[in-house]
Amino acid sequence: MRILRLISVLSCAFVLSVVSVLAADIKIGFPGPITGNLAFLGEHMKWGAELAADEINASGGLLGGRKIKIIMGDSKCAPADSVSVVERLTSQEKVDVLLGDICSGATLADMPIAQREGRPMLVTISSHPAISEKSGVGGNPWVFRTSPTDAIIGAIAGKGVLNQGFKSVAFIAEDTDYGRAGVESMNQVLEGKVRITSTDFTAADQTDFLSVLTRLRSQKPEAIAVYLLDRQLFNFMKQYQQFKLNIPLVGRPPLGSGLVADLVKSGDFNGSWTVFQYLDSYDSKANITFVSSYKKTYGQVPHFSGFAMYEGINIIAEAIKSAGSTDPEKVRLALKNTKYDSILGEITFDDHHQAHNSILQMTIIDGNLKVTGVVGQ
Amino acid sequence: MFDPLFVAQLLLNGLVVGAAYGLAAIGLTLIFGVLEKVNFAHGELYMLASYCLYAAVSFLGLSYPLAVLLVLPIMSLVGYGLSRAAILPNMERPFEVTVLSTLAVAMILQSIVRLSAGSTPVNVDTVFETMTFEIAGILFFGQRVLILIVAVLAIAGFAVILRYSRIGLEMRAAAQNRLACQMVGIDLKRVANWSVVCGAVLTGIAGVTMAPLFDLSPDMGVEIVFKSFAVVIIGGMGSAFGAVIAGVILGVVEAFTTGYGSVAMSEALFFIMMILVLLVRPHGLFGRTVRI
Amino acid sequence: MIYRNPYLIMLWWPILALTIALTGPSQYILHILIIAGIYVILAQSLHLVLGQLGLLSLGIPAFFGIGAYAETLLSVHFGMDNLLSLVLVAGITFGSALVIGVPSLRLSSHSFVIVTLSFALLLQVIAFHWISLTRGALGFPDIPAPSVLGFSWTDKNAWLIAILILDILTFAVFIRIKTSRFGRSLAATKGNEDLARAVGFNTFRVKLLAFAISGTLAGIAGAAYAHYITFIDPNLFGFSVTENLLIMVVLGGSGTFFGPMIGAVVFTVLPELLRFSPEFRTLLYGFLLLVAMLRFPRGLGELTSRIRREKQR
Repeated sequence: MRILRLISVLSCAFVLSVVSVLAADIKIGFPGPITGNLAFLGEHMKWGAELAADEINASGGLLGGRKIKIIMGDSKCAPADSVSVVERLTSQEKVDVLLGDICSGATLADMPIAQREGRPMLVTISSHPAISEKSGVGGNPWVFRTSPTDAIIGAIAGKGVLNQGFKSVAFIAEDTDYGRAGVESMNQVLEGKVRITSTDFTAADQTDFLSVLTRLRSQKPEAIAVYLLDRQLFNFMKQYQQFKLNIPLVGRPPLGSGLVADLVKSGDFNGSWTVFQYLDSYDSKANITFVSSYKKTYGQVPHFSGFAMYEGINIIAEAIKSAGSTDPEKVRLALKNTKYDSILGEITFDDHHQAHNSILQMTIIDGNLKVTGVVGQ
Repeated sequence: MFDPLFVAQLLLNGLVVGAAYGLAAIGLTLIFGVLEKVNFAHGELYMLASYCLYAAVSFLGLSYPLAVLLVLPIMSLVGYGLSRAAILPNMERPFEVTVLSTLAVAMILQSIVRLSAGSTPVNVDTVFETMTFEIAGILFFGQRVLILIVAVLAIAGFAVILRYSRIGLEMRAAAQNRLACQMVGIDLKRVANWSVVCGAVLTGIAGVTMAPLFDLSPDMGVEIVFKSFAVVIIGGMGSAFGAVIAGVILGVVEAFTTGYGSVAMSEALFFIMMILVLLVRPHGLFGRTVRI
Repeated sequence: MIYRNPYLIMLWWPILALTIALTGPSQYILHILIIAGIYVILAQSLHLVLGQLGLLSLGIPAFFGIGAYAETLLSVHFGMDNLLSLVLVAGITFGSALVIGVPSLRLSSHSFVIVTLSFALLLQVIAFHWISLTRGALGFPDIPAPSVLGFSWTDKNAWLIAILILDILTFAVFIRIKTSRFGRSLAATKGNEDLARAVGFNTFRVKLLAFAISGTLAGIAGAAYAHYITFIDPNLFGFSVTENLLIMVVLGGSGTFFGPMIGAVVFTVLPELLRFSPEFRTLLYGFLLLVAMLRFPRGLGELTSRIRREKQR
């Protein structure tokens, strides 16, 4: 029976083990991939959030000196784990405000918990349209989103392709909800006007693009529309270089990512462009300040997930200040009326609690990625 | 689209990619052939070798060949550790115990690399990568050709060890009949340690030659494990030659299905082929005892 | 008293879970109990083939996933009552297990391991690409709450009771098997298959039936999971479920009949306890596993029965 006793003790300890922290701290928590193949995005998530929190705490905190504490749990970007993290954040850690996960599937699974527990949740990275469809007047008044949806970005990217007069395009995207939704939204704009030579959906952890590139070399589309994340883009571009192809990458490749910086500089990708919600080299005073303190603290330039979380924490802090307390309902109402001066424009929320911040268009010119347009939504 | 140039390129692609698959699987098939144990830490060994290469090139500033020479002894130490921690204690225990122990080691290795190197992917560049030759309209990629050459040398080296060394003889004997080995006085612990060490070094060779092709991240080993299983099963557990042949077959089939069809089809194909081979010829193409 | 019917020991889990639930715990704790309950079914499913037959099937996620997707499609497209859909799901997974089992069980035990793993991974690829059926990578969000004979629920306490009912049913099935003639043929096959065949048991059919029942249990667990988490995607077929199950069954103790259950509960709770250190969580878990395998290769369940046997002496 020793084992039974051990297990009973474990269960009791487990029931009783509530981590009690200083009541004075304002707790903001979120799930994200600490392990798994998106771990490096999760790392930037944490950095962005912590940088914002540190800055606010250093200048006196909120509500008369209370400090912000950031709590992140490992969701591996998987819905079931994300749900576990959010349940833990709300009932054990008793966070005051939540933020969304990176992957839309996980965020969608987390949203009902925010509603059930009555905690505001700010989604800053997930891009699935369903998230805002369900928020605000859509049914869940607790969820807000600052990141643009795939539908909007896809449409802008599609129009970009048409504007350049390409007659044939090949698609390459990751086989996730992000990749598929993206291709779908670009397709809607391009259908009938441009010939689609091929559409490839690759597994999210695939690194070898040899066969796909061979086919592209043979079919010679005028442009390659890309919906991959940073790691896959790096591998794709690296192997592309060996093929010595001359086809511009368009659509939504994360050309601004630190991972592909050297490849961009090589000059082999001049003419490629992308539509993205952030670029670390964007030339505005506020951004330059942000980027330099990020780089000083963490040794890398911010990834857009770091930027998104940085602004997210700041938006939440503003809401708490204007609500005058951490009472969830008051913070929720304050968030609804947000008027935030973002690095890229002004953030307000529509009736589906969706923000319509500006989106950047950037092109590689002579080995440099430059912002060539700021598109309002 | 039966453009002969396209077909030829796909064929060559399949050959070099397949050789890589085979090379990556040799270590796994060795351990399986001799000890009848599946090493679920196989992918992490590959990953560890790649990261050691990265560290040697980036932080110690070594050239590619020197870095490789440094990594291989490290891999043999790691192999020894793996053997003592997860394989040797479980030799007489049921199969699944080794599966779990090696899984635990895999988790530990992945965590250690993630905690020390961070999650941001890194990459290694070698001089071979800039070499792309075009012969008769077909592209030959330097690093990939290197992999092909190394794969061939690996089988040759492996064969030499098996046939002409004492430990090779003992490994072959252990693969045939473990009980008989004990009766003639072969030290099975020694055989086990050596097999795992050789397996680790071979996997390490795969890691250092293939790492420069792609980026490195702590979870890169996961993809390798399942593909290596497919190769080992089709080629026959215990046969290094079978592993490379199976790898090449898989590589060529994959190249053609992706080239003419889509990536989706080729993914399914790996598993379908493995299942088919197992149903029709359970011992794989080249059988089960440890041979070249 | 408890020793007279050793199977009663399996009731410790529902009793513990209900006791904790009665103390009014947080939603998070209820969530963990429910997940543990789902894994209890899966652990019994794996135990049926591994512990009772010595076959390491890495294919449980295949049936878990089929169950989850089948239940989702039946609920969403046909809106049928979930008692009926559960029965249909049981039938579908039973059938799938027969289809997969017939070719796989003819192989050597090592090949069986890899083939079952491959079937699960193959199903994952199919789930990713058969978009018209499974919505591929997009998955199914918003799976409706279960509705059994008009009675529906989303409250976690209700869920816990539902899962515990399923767990008790699973135990009942298992006990019925063990004490039946079928159970004896299982033991005979595990002990010495050639001898069993010589004595007249159709060992192939025995293995197939066990495999099919195991698959059905996993399918039912999948159906419950779908309604509870309200979101499924092809990653259900992936290796992480198998990894968790292996840990639960092997470290729980595949030699005893209650070991896997202990494993399911302990190893659902343990990773959650380790969340206090998100960075080191996986490292700690790996170390714990390795040490546990070295010290308790037969699992925790074995430890308990050894203690029990000593007490009886």
